[in-house]
Parts: sequence; structure tokens; C-alpha cells
Amino acid sequence: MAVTLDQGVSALRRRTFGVAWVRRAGPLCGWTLGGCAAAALLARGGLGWERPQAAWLLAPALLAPIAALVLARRERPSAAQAATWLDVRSGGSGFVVTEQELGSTAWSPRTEVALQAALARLPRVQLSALARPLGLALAFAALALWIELPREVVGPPPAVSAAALERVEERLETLQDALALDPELERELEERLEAAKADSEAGHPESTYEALDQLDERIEQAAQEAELAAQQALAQLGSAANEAQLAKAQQALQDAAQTMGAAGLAKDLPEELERELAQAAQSLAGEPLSSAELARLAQELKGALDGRMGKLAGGRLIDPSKLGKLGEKLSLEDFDDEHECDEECKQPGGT
Amino acid sequence: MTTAQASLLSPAEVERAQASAKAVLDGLDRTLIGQSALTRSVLVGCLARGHVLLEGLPGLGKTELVKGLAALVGLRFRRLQFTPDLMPGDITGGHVLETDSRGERRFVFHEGPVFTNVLLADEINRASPKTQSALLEAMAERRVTVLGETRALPSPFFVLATQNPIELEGTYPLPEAQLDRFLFKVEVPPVSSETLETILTTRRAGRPPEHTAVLDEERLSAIYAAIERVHLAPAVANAIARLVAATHPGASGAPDKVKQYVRHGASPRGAIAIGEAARAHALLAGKPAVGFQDVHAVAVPALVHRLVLDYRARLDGVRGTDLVRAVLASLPETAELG
Repeated sequence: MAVTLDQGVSALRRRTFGVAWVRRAGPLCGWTLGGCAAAALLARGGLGWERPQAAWLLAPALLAPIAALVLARRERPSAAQAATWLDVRSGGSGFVVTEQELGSTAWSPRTEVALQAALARLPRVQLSALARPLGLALAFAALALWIELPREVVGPPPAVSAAALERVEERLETLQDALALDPELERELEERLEAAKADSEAGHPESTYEALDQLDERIEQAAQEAELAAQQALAQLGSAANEAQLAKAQQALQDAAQTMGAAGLAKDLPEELERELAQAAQSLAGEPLSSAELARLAQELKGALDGRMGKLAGGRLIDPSKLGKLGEKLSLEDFDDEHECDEECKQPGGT
Repeated sequence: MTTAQASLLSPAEVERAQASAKAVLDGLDRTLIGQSALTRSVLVGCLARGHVLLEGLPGLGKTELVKGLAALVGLRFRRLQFTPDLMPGDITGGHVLETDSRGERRFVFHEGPVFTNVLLADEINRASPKTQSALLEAMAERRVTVLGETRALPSPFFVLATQNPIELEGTYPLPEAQLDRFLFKVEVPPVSSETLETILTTRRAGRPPEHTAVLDEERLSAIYAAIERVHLAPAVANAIARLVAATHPGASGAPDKVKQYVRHGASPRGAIAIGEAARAHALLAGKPAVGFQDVHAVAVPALVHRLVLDYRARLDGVRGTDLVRAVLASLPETAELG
């Protein structure tokens, strides 16, 4: 088939444009689509966008082929450049550039032979240059849109972790378990906990943490008050043990029981013990208890006190190392079951 | 039809000129067996009205080639053997005191051997620089000035000089200014054993065949006129310009080899030489216009002697031919034509 110079030049310009577009479009589309897909992934993961909403972020990638078109147009050779290219590829005979310049057809058969040779060597469109980056970018875009993101990743990052809530809740339960709290205080603590939970669910991390901190401080304060009361009760039990007169020792025992009761440390005391303590309180005016009974009651009270403090220490509401020191304050072995004090009775350890 | 279109040679005109030139080329090939590239270069140089410097060891047929060329084109030929004691006057001629028929004595100019069409300057690098430079004006301007009188040389006039490689004893390297006036410098390669065998079997004592002129002055002029009309497209001229520019080490398009080994690149005369030689080459190939392949074909002989090489080139054994080929390989238009 006969080929004119104009046809040859047009064919080369078209092919060069195609080659340039593919070469430009490959990386341009790939990077743009990849960038848009990354943005879509971030929007889904970070901002909690739904898939259709995030898919719109891929739209700017449609501009990449157009930009490649613009850039490829700039690379398209002029007619003179195309003629030079065709001439060189046909062996550099000079027929093509001469006809392109002069427009003379006297040597057209030779020009045509040259053109045929050159057109057989037109640059090839390397589709792989487009397919590889575009394929990778498309795969990434599909992945970014369609993968199931873990729950923690979707939506705003949890401002307040469930663990923080659970920890404070557990401390409150420990306190409630260890002490018979004042109902008003118990209600206040429960309300603070509920408020913190509500703030967390509403996505207000600052107020949630603030509420949790306040609740935790309040729990710690109650535990410390109980610890102080326990120390006082132990001191009273200690003075009961050291008292030479049974009546005064009984009074000290009663004081210790009251201190425990007031601080909520008398929770879950055995009924028998409560009844005996009540009888002991009534008998203060009359016949005092024997030293053996006093020792047993003191022992049971201390046991109850140890149990309460042990629960608080187990829940890390008080320092467990202080438990030992509390125990040291009173050694009930000091009681002498056979001892009967009178006016001359001396203090234990006295001369 | 534009003027440019009208001036483009027709296929018939090209065919006629090509046939005449081919007849000379065939004759040269018969003279110098197995050296077709050399004979083509010499013919192209002569058709481009340029001077050709042939370099090669003695005994390779340089002189016979030039003699054969002169005989084939039917031009006057003179041979001048350059020796260390040759004086400028021995080339140009001089005034001699003579007595005329009336008995008056006066100085008469006697033309030297330069007054010819084809001057064979044999072993030109054996003469002193002073004598070599006596050829400068004749080669550049095709005229001779003696004692203030300027005399034009016959037309056409071209010098075919031979030189031994400059490494040999008793040689004077040609100055750059004179080298630049040669259109081509062609190396005469050693002949192959097959060629030697042919010479031995076909030629008694190595004598070349006798030639009769295949051209007369009219046909030679027609060839010259045709070469004048061989078209040089701007794209090709642009390639020549960039080619010559790239021989300069400071040029942006110069290849690394040029930057490393060349001290001075080719002069504008080099570009003109390529253009003219490419025209002759194109006509010899039967074309009305110069193509990139013609530029590629003549670039090495047209440029090789115009490059001034750095001392490192000699140390590394890099020759001017290698550097011109590197420049050709660096140009998109000529890179694929090797």
C-alpha cells in the first residue's frame, strides 16, 4: 500500500503520542490512584467514613490520564521532527527530510520506500508500562475500599479504654465488698461511675477521665479512712489488752467495736459475735466479762478487722505492706486468762 | 513549483552524474585492489573540490592511486616529491632572468609544479615546515603570490598529499593550520593476503593497469554542477552543526571521551567540509539530497585531522577516529547508522 509523507508523519506522531501517553500515564495514574486510595483508607480508618463516602476520594485519580494527555501532547514531534525521525529510521537517505522540506514529488518512489522501512520500525507502545503501576494501584484501591477494618480502627480511636473503666469499677466493688459503706457515700460513688460510663459512651474522653480520676480518689479516700479507723480500733483493742481492770478493758473492747462499726469495718460480723458484743455492752454497768471472754471477743474482732483490711489490701486500695504493721500493734497473747485484776493490779510488764 | 523544488536534481540528472562518477570509481578500484573504501573517500574528496591527505606506510599504493585518479579524470597531473631540502620556490616557481628575442633581459616567471590540476605532494611531511606552508595559500585560495604578484591556479585544482606516519624518522608534523585545509585525511590500511595474492597473479612487477580518461572537462564540470545542486536539508545541516559542536570538549553535547581526550575540537571549516563532502557522497550514491548516512560516511575522514588531542589520548592509545565515532554515536541522527 502506498504511503505518502503526510501519512507517514501522521502515523509517527500518533504513535509517539500514544507511547508518550502510556509512559506518562502509567506512573502518574499509579501514584495518583495510590495516593487517593491511601486517603480513602485513612478516611475509613481514622474518620470512620463509610465505603461509598470514601470511594469519592478516588475521584481525583481520574484527572491523572488527562494530565498525562497534556504532557504527552507536548512530546508529540513536529512535522519536521517526525520527518527526521522517519528518515533516520529508514537508513538516513535524506529522501524523507528533503521531501518534507521541499514538497517535491520527483523522488516520491524512493521516499515511499524509505517511509515503508521507517514505518515498520515505529516505536512500540509498551502497555506493561501502564498496566503494572495501574494494576498495583487498582489492587490497592480495591483493598482500601473493600477490606473489613477492625472495630477499634473504625471510628474515632477510643478516648477512654474499657480497661480504665473496668479498673475503677473493680476498685469500687472491692471497697463495697470490704466495707459497709455509708449509703449516701455508696450512692455518690455509684453515680460517679455511671456518669463516667455515660461520658465514655458519648465520646467525651476528657470528662470521662476526669470523672474516673475523681471517683478513684474518692474510693482511695474511703479506703484510707477505713485504714485509719482500723488502726484506731486496733489501738483500742490494744488498750483493752493492756488494761488491768476488766471493766476498763471491756470498755475499750466496746470502743473498738464501735470504731469498727462507724468505719464500716464491722461488715459481715458473725451474728454470734454481734450478739455477744451487744450483751457485753449491756453488761458494762453490771457484771463484767471474764478475761477469757474478753480475749476471745478481742480475738474475733481482730480477725474480722484483718479480714476487712485484707480485702482492701487485695484490691490494692491500701498498701499491703502496712497490714503487717497493723498486726504488730496488738498481740492478744498479752491477755492472761487466769489474771484477776484488783485495785493493786499492776500493768503488764510492770514490777 | 518553488525555486527550491526546481533546483532539486531530477532522477535523470542524478543518474548521469552518478554514472560518470562511478566510471572513475571503477577505474580507481582497478588501480588499487581491495581498497574500495579508500578509493571512494579519495573520489568524494576530489568531487567536493577538496584536498586529500593520505596517510600510510610506504608501498601501499598511495602514489599509484593519485596517478590513476588524474589519468581517469583527464586532468593535468604533477608529482612533487617532498624532501627536507625542498624550498618554497620549488613548489610555486620563481622569476628567472632571461634574454628575449630582441636581446632585452628581464625576469620571467616560471611556474612551479603547483600550477596543475592535480598535485601529488608525495611524502609531504618530509619537507620543512617553511616549505609545507608554501602550499597554504595555494590550497586555501587556489592562487599563488610570488614577489607580490598573485597568479591563479588552474581550475580545478586539488592537492593529494601523502604522508608517512609521523612517528617515522625524519618527518615534520604538519601544522594544524595546514591540516585544516585538507578536506579529508584518509588512512591507507594495509592490504589483506587475498589482495596481495591478486596483485601477484594479475600484475607483473606490481604495475597497475594503464588508464585512459573516462571523463573530459565538460563531463567533470557537469558533475561539479550537479554536486552544487545536491540539496542539504535543514535537518541534516542541523545534525552536521551539532556533530561538529560536539567535538569540542566544552560543549554540552560532547561525549565523555571527547571531554577527556580532546583539547580543541573541529573548526567551522570542518562543518563546511562535511557538508561539501556529503553532497559528493550523496551524488555518488545516486541521491539528489544529502542524508544522514552521507554525513555518517564522511564524518571520520573530514574531522579526524581537525581534532587536537590531549596527551592523555596518546597515553591511552585513543585515536582521533575513535573520538569521531564516539561523537557520531552520541547523536540521535547518526547513532543507528554505524
